[in-house]
Amino acid sequence: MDKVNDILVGILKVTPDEALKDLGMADVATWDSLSHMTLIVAIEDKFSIQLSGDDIADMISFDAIRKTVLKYTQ
Amino acid sequence: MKIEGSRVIITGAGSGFGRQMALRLSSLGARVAALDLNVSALESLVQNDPTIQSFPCNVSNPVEVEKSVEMIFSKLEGVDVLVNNAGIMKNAPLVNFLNREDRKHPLGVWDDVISINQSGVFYMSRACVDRMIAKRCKGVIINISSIAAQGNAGQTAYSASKAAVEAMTKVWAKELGAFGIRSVAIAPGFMDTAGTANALEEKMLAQWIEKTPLRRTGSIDEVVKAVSFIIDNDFLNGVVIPVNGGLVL
Repeated sequence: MDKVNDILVGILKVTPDEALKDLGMADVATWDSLSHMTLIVAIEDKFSIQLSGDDIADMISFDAIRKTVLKYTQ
Repeated sequence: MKIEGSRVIITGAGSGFGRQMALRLSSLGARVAALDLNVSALESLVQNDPTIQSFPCNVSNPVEVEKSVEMIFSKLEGVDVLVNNAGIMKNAPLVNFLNREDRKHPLGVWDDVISINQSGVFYMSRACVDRMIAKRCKGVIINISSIAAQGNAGQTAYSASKAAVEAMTKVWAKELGAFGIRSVAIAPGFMDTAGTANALEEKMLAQWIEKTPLRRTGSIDEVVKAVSFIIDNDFLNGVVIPVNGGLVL
């Protein structure tokens, strides 16, 4: 999950420590609908996956993101 | 992006710029979906080039737009290029003291122009981009603006609608770049079209030609060439390309 954390740090500008927590959209000031889509594109590129519309809508916390990425990569 | 094999939607494809774009892009190997309110104009276009698929649609009606775009995505299995070309030109001063009955800019003119030129572009783009992202289609939105976006006397509604089109072009370039979707506008000057002839008196047009450094109106073909250039150049994004012979308002 290091790669996911790197993406969270890079796009949402959270600290590496914050990236390890289960923060939600409400907790991260830089995380809005636009940066969410940038996040999705970065995750898809990094893991060579194509997320479904439902997955994209569900990935609104760091844990949900990690869980979804695991679903596609395991 | 290569034009050959690309899937292109053109609004207002029944006449003028749109018709020429449809025929040119189709002749270059694009798969063209032509939208227009005027069914007989679409029939004439398809008679000219039977490979073009036509879809009667009023772009100012969001329900019709969604239906048409859904149908096109299903038939073409995606879309790579959207050309928002449909538009109307109606002129009126903000206040006209020659009109004793009602001096103020007619509300109907404002509503008509904004609903087609501005809302139409918005409805088409949101319908297409939603599906492009869902299908991971990369591509380009090409918006046809006008030199009037700079503010042309007597064209409050038209100028406002085209300025909005240019603003939306720049917003979408920023929002959609991450998805590989570009957004570019073309701002033609005074062109040799039926629309220009209908909207301007001959004397007025002659004055504009006089003010244009190249001393002539532009041709439809010169705008169509700009469309081809935008499709072809994958690094062009978020800009408005003037095709106006050097005229400055």
